[in-house]
Amino acid sequence: MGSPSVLLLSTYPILKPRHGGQLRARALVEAYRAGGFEAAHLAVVEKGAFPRGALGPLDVEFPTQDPRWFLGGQDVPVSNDVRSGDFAASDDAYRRVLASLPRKIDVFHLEQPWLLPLVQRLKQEPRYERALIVYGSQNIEAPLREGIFRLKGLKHSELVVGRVLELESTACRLADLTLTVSPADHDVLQRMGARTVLSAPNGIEAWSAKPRLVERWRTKLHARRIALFVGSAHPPNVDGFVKAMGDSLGFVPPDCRIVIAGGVGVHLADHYQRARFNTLNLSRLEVTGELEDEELAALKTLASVFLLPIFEGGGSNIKTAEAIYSGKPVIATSTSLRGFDAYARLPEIQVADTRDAFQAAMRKALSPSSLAPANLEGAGLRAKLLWNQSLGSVAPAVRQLLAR
Amino acid sequence: MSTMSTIWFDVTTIVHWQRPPVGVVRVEAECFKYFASLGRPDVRFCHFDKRAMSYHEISAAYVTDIIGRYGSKASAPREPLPSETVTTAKRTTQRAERMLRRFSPTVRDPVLELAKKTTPALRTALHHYRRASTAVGALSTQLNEFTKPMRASPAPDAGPSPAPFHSGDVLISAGLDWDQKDRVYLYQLKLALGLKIILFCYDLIPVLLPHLCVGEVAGMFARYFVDVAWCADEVMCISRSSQRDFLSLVHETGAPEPKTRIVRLGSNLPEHQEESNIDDLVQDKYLLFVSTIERRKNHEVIYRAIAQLVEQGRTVLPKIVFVGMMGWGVADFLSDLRIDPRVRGRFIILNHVSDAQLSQLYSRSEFTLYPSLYEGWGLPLAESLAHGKFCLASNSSSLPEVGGSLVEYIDPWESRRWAERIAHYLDHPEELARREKAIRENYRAPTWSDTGRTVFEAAEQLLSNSSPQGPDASHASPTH
Repeated sequence: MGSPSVLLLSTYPILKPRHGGQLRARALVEAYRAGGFEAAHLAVVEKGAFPRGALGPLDVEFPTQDPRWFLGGQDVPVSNDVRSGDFAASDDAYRRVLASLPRKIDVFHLEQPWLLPLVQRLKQEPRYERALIVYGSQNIEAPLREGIFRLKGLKHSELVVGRVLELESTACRLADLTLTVSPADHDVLQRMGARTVLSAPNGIEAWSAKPRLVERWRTKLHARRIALFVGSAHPPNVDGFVKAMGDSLGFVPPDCRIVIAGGVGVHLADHYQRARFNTLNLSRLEVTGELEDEELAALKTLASVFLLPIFEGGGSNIKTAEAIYSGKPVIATSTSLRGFDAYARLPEIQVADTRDAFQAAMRKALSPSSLAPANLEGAGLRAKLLWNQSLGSVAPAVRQLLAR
Repeated sequence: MSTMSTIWFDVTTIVHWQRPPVGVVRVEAECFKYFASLGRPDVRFCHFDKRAMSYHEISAAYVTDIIGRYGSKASAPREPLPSETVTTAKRTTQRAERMLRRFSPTVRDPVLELAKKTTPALRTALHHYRRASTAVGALSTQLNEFTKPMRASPAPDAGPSPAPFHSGDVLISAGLDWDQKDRVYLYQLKLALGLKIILFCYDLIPVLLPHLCVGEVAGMFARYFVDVAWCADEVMCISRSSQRDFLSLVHETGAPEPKTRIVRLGSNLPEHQEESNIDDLVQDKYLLFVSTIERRKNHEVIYRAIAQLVEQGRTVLPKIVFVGMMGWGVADFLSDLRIDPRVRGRFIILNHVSDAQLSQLYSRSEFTLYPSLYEGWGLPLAESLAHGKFCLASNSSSLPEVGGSLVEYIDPWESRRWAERIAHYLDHPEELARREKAIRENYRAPTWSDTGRTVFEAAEQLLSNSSPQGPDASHASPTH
């Protein structure tokens, strides 16, 4: 008998991971491999959302504008992921998926509930009927989606939220093992029907920056201290930053900068360009856009302060783990620290849940007398943030289930 | 007071200025005179070289010589009204100036003066009008450089470059800092040395009334004042109104709140030795309005008031004399003055008058007008009172602080009220006389010495509160 095999399914490719979900999915694949599994990954991705070179061999593109996959006949925004499972389980797509899969799969790891219809149909295949289902919950998705619809004033939330709730609760009930990223989600998942829930918090990869790149950024940014915010273009990242900072960045000293890396930057640059004090704001901001890992590593090394202005969302955040792992001052909302309760007591972590508190913490952190070097205490605790530790129990737990 | 520490007075604006000092330049020049008059070894002078990004000491004698050379020889050419013959060379000049008028006076005036003397692009334009478009374009590019947000500062790791300051010194700057200084560099110096810094807040007009300025300049000034809040240990505000505006901006933007202090600007004109004759400038009775001619100063309300009086059948009126440089945004207004038959010949515009001539113009006026929409202080109102002249003034911003009960205030938008009160005082010379008597008896013009003394006291207090930092309190060296 060979190594057990696992197919991890998600709605984003993992060849070149950028955002948190991609990073987690890839880390899971690697955790399975490290645990002796043969691990493959299949993504059903929004057509055109990723360059061809970013797609893996099993990945399938979902034509989101095809009316056949609209929810209740409506072209509802913020629902592509929710609809991707129905597409993947439909005859044409399913046949293509099935043809590309290995004959032996012992475990379907469903990362987020979106592709549940595909997994359910695959489980009807005789060759996969005994396969286990592991459901990787990253958030309690239904309330999160409802919040996005409410915040943006979008219509047809009932169509989307109802479907999300159905997928989520069914995934919990069908899964042999459910993974959760935070203690707060643990109970909710159990109440939704999950039989066995295992904690598998988000983690990070340790980074080391090339001195050449650190120097290049130091020269380019030309700032005594920088406060770093890394985020995707996910709307709550934009809203959270503005909520925490306000419309004026006058609380940043003239020789310091807030550096914004990732897709969120273009939206924030636009916001602060339109704001009344735009010249002031732009003098305090540096927007880098999406960065390669090594460039981001250089920025993280150079940063004096990490910012986590996140007010919405459940689960736990990889950006939070990276910020804490740095050992540098972190200014964070309570929400952003969900799942990292043990770390909230570290001296370098400053919780700020209002604009005034965030600005005051920024002023203090960027002042010449503030704690600048990394805090060496708590190093043992921070080491637990690495993926190999945070996901270390997943493969053994799945093996145990297979052994039964 | 520490015997080791020095009070530095920054004279950068003075050393770059080329003509009689007005506004901010006068404040710096008059404060310099006071500081220099103290003759104290612990009071020294410096200027900032933006290209080299460094401060340098400069002798009081050298600065005094500069001020002496540009002080009193100005002629008073009469500014041509738009109806007068304009030569091609003048047209070219006006074209360049029109472009410059898009900028606020605080930026434009020094640029214009410097540009006229030193900028090859404008010099070319003035002499080769056919190539004016190209030249003005080149100048525009230079101006964009001039007005764009500051970027270049020394690398922070390298720390600020050497300066003559020592740990614990006090640096005072009252000049055109938004153009001539690098606040990032100044902030780094402050951190590196524990330098105590006093800066000035004249007004927040570009921030509060951006529609009366150019948008980009408005943004630049908001940033400037926030940087001031970060750099300054104390900010000298020229009125309670400016202080209120400054602190309001500080709170709104999240900047730290420095200590603030009110400093009254002197309104005594320097005593002039030269003889002055204004007979060739204006022969008739006149009402005087001293100010740059720009939208914010609201010359238009006076035009409307005079037109209304004429419409009411009041054809015998004193002349209205505007003394001031041309600002931006008044082309239509000047065109109205030229075309409107009701007011043709009733307005005289004078520019580049000497201090002596200005003093005479005040003294001989019937009374003065100051309908400005917003001010940081309102020096012409104070000067009017200093010359014993009654003023009809706007009731906005800081002006009631200047005139107290000696002045009559009018809503700057109500032209009918202006017409009514102008007519009233023309018809009641006895009341005007009573008003002037009250001014003579009650008004004490703040002197420039008072201004200099207030600033010096602030510096001394900071000095007594500061202590040299670090084991080596010698020259500026980075501590980070």
